[in-house]
Amino acid sequence: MSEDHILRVTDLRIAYGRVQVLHGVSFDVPAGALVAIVGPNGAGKSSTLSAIAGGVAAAGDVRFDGRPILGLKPEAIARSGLSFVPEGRHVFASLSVEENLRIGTFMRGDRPRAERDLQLVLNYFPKLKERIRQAGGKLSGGEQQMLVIGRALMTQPKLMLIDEPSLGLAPRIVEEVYAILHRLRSQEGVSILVNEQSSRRVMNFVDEIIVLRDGRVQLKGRPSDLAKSHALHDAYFGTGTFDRDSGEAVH
Amino acid sequence: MRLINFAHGEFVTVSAYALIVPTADVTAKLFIGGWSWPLLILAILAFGMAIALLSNLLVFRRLRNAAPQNLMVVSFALGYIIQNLLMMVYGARPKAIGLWSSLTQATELGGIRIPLLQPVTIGVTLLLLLAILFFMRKTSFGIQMRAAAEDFRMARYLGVRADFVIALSFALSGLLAGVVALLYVVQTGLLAPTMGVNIVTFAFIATVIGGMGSLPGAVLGGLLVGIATSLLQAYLPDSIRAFRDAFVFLFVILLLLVRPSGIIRLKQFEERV
Amino acid sequence: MQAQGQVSTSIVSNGRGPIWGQVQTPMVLVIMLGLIALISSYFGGSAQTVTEMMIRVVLVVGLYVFVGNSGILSFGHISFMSIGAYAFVWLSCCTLPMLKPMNLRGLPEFLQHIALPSPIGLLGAAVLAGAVAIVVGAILMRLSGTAASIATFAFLAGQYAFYMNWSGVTGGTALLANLPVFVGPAVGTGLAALAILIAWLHQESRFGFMLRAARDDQTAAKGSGVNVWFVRTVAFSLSGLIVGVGGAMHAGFLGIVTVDAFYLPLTFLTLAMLIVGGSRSLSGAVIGVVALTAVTEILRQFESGIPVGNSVLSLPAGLQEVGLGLAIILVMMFRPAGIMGGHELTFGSIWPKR
Repeated sequence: MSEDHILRVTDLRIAYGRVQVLHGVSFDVPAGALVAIVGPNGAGKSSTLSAIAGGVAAAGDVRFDGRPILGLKPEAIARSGLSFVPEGRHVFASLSVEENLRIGTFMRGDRPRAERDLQLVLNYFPKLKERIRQAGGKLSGGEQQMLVIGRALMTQPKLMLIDEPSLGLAPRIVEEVYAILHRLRSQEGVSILVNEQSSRRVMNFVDEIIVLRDGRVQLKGRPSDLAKSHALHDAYFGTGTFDRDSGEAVH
Repeated sequence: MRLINFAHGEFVTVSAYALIVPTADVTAKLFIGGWSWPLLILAILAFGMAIALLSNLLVFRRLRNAAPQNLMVVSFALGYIIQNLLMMVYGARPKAIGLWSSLTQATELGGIRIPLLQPVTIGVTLLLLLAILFFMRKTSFGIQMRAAAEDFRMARYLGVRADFVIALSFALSGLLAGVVALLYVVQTGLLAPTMGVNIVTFAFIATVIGGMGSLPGAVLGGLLVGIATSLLQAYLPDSIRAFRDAFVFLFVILLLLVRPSGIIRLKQFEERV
Repeated sequence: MQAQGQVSTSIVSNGRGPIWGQVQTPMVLVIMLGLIALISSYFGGSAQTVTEMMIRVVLVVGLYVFVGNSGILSFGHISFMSIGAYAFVWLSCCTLPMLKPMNLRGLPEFLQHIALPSPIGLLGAAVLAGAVAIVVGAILMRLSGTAASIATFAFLAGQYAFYMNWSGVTGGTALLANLPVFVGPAVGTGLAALAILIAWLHQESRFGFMLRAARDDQTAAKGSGVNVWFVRTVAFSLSGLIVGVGGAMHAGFLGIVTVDAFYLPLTFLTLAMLIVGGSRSLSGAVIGVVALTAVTEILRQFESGIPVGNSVLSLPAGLQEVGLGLAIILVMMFRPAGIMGGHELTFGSIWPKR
């Protein structure tokens, strides 16, 4: 098994009751890469990330850092260095910004290290510094998104899974969030896997794109290669001729 | 943990019964109740914690993903089992028990004569509140518990151990049940298999009207129920004073109609559309 | 969200199939109860146990009309039992005419000296419990979810405290005896059948359908023009009425009544029967009663002693209650949706054709 892959997903299958939402999905995340899964609503993107993080029961094989993690408890997976930011942000509204951030450090018990991490995160997200004592629920949408990414960072992850970081954010804030993710990848060496509905937003930032539709991987590749052809558009919409909503995909 | 634990009253009852020797005799012989007071307090608190942890281990842990109404029924069933086991061992009749009876004697305090127990109860309650507040705000365990109470799933994604947090909250509630057992027994001098139910009915109502899941809410709710009860006792005309409790519950229903989620509403309940 | 799995089963099981498929359910249930009554009397079983079971069927089916269809847990229904039982006392007490003015001094003059026939007392119980349920329902159904459940609990506690202290009219903590006894296995079975029929008619009516729609998705139901408050209040009233009849049956079976009998233990027992059977189907309500009665009965036999060879095996008293509690916890662990799991019984399900 090659160790330059931080995450290997092989034949991942998920069913809710009798409804199969994922029909054997396989992909890798290279160590130190920023990878995006894109696909329309209901493609199975969120289920994929939840399953990797231990939130949804699934079949198949998921290896994180070479170790199988499928079937472990969510907290055990988090403690092994995989941090998941689910869709909808999930800020602890009644906890202060600082308490929100500190949750991620309790599993280590290394206080001086935790202090350094807190400073690091606050350097990445200066806005959070100003609001450190405020209740998490009082932050704006963009600030909450920064808070949950910062919070996930506090666990010192080797890999972060982020479900739709751009959801409900203004385009300018989305740019800001992705710029930070990009910096995290290059400066801290964190591997990152994000989900997005629209490929347009992530094209300029990510190293690799995986197109997921109807619970199957339709296409994988580097954004620069995909952008040249119609393949991305076709994979996303599942047709070569259907061209109506072309605003969503990039040619 | 969003569990409405109807067995909590039985935690109180069991802790109180641990004071005496287990027999069905009418007269109570002191068991733990005969120990020296620091040892006694520690033993009863530990007992309350043990019984709470045990019910978590044997019952609630296995029902982690059950629907709230199933949990309610299960906790009710557990309380029923404990209550009947107690009756099998100790007999169904109430027993008189003299524990620290010097505390109930009246003393002069600031010009008024009141039983010493009252300031002691108030002091203990305040102390406990401060201790809980400190625990919840300043320790990592407390912060983890608050996070888990708000969004259990997310807390787990951040490495908070589910089993641990739940066990911790059971231990804490068991400890408090022990405290209540001691205060109640000293005050009333009575043990009865159903004693816990009445205490918890009021506590439950107080929590609910204060705002579930909120500590200040619970305190406020408790105070409100207490104040309403004594005001009604003082000002209701003689002919209907007997219906005091009925009025208290009527007041609870009215309050719920005005503020269904309690006086102190939590942020996370408001933000959801 | 978390109810999605259950939603689909309820749609499957309560599906608007051909009318025959739906009529089967009350028929199967009534025939089953009738057979239990007959077989038990043939083998010299206790008429008391059968009657008691039938009363519980009425109570739990009444509870089901509201709880099952609305999805709101009610802790307050035993209050209607209490109200029904005392309405029966006021109208039909007592077999000794001089007792009533003596025990219930606070009763209005015109009630003091009458002892109407039991069926009229039963009817009065239904009317009074139903009327109170309309008022209480109309107020409480402005709430939903947990707040509504808690309000029903407050109602129970308030009604209990009220009757406990209303000594002139209810006897307070005292026990009232010498009530006319008119409920036996036959009357019990008949009224249980009636309760099942009414519950079924409600369930299949548009009120029942709209109520379940609101249970499964309140927003969507409201969006489709369902007046959630109204359909809930209808179910609450009807279910209060049925439980009130159960209260009168209880009084007319034992011949005695105390306020104390109608409080938390019975609330717990009836709710447990409903949820253990499966609160999402009428069959679940009935099966829950039958199953838990069977468990209790078997444990009771053990408590009073069972001959094993030459000796008598007897288990300590109190085991009945402990065993019942254990049975409930075990069912909840291994069948969270109850024994019936939201399905209805049909002839096909008893005698599978496939």
